[in-house]
Amino acid sequence: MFKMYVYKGGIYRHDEIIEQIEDLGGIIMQKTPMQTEIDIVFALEEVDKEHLEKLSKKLRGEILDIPFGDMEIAIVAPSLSRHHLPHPVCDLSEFLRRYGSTTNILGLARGYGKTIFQISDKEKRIISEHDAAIFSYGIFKECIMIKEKEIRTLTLPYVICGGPKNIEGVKNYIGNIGRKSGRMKSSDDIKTLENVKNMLLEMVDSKREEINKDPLISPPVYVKRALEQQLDLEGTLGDNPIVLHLDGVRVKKSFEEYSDKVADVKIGDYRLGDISTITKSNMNDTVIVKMRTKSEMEAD
Amino acid sequence: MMDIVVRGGSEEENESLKKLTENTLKDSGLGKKQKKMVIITDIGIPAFYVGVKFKKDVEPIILDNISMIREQSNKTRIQINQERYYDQVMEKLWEIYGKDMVEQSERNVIYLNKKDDEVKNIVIYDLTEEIRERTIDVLWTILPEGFKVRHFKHFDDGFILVATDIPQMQEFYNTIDEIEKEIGE
Repeated sequence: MFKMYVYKGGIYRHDEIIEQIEDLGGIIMQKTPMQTEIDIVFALEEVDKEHLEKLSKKLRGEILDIPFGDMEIAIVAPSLSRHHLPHPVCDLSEFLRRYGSTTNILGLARGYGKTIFQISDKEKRIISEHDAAIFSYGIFKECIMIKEKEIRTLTLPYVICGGPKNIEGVKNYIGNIGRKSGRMKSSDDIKTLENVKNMLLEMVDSKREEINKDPLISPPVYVKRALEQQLDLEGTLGDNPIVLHLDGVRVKKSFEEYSDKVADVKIGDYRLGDISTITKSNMNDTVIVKMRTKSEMEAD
Repeated sequence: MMDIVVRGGSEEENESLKKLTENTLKDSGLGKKQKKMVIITDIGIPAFYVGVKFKKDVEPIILDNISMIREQSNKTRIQINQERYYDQVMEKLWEIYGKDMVEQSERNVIYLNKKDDEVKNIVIYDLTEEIRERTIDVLWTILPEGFKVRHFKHFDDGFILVATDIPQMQEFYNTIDEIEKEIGE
């Protein structure tokens, strides 16, 4: 199974790293040169990592795991007001991006208050488009308990963050976040953010295991490469038009214009439209591609 | 530093809200302008009560402080000595006496077309009012969002605020009286 890594090193002889990744059957996801340094995000089979590490050591670079590299995570705030942004919602988002995640901050239309709190069906559908979600709530236990009941129906892995240290009866809860007036940079704050990451990682690992038991017909990284090559959708430094999901990809292009083109892309002997479900995103005008599993294909 | 009292919630909730209040007031430069702040949370209703008492270290500026006032025939001549208050003086005089009664003969000389002994006591600039406005603005970012049913009770040197998301109840007025006594002491 593919895992996501980032190579951090000098720009000198980085082409050797790229060549070896490709020789080992890996896929380059993104290259970010920064003056004399370069970050290369790539997907590689776990067993092949040690071969690459030898070369990386020789070039004085390092290879780091980015466990959320193939995920799009939603950070959900009760609203997009000063009460929740930039702290702690942006801090959570920034912290997860260090581990490779693509994060989207979502503000609910009526996610605040106690008696007036609501989460609409459309909002739930938008959140469910992601691979995982983090809900950032306030400092009052009673309010968090009410809000938690509303999101129990979500099937994706999620973590709830709030002020009180522990709340009995609330699953996947991490305390000590709540409302913040400043950036989360103290050692205690960083420990808390680490806890959020670890809890999410645990849940995501079990989801990955599930996917492994009934594997996708083609790994999303191959789909991403095929789309980039066949539709000429190479990203720039600031824009990544294809975002990886655990079970597919999001193509950040107009659904009307691109859905047919995406469906016609060839993945090996298959047409992408035949081995996946292509839908329009609820969030914006983008294309969501969900790969079908081998068992689903056999059942057909 | 001002005295902040938070009660009503659990110890942990009170501590978090206190810390948030302290930091937000400090960041906005209002930390030293208040004498006492009492926050009572009642998450059951839900309602948030805030009582604020300002420090009385700055007196309001009255017209007599910044001008020379004398009577001339049936008029009052006001010669303003501090240029930065020209517009505020004009605005106040227009507001109180009307535009017909106020004449500006020179840049710093204003005639009021009547005699009035009280003119020297007109408050031109009151820092307390500015602090009051800024404190209220800051409180909207401290109190949880969504509590948009608001009720104020203002005093010369402070105010009490109730924020909730339900219609007003008798309970609010009882707590307001309680806070009034507490911050008045």
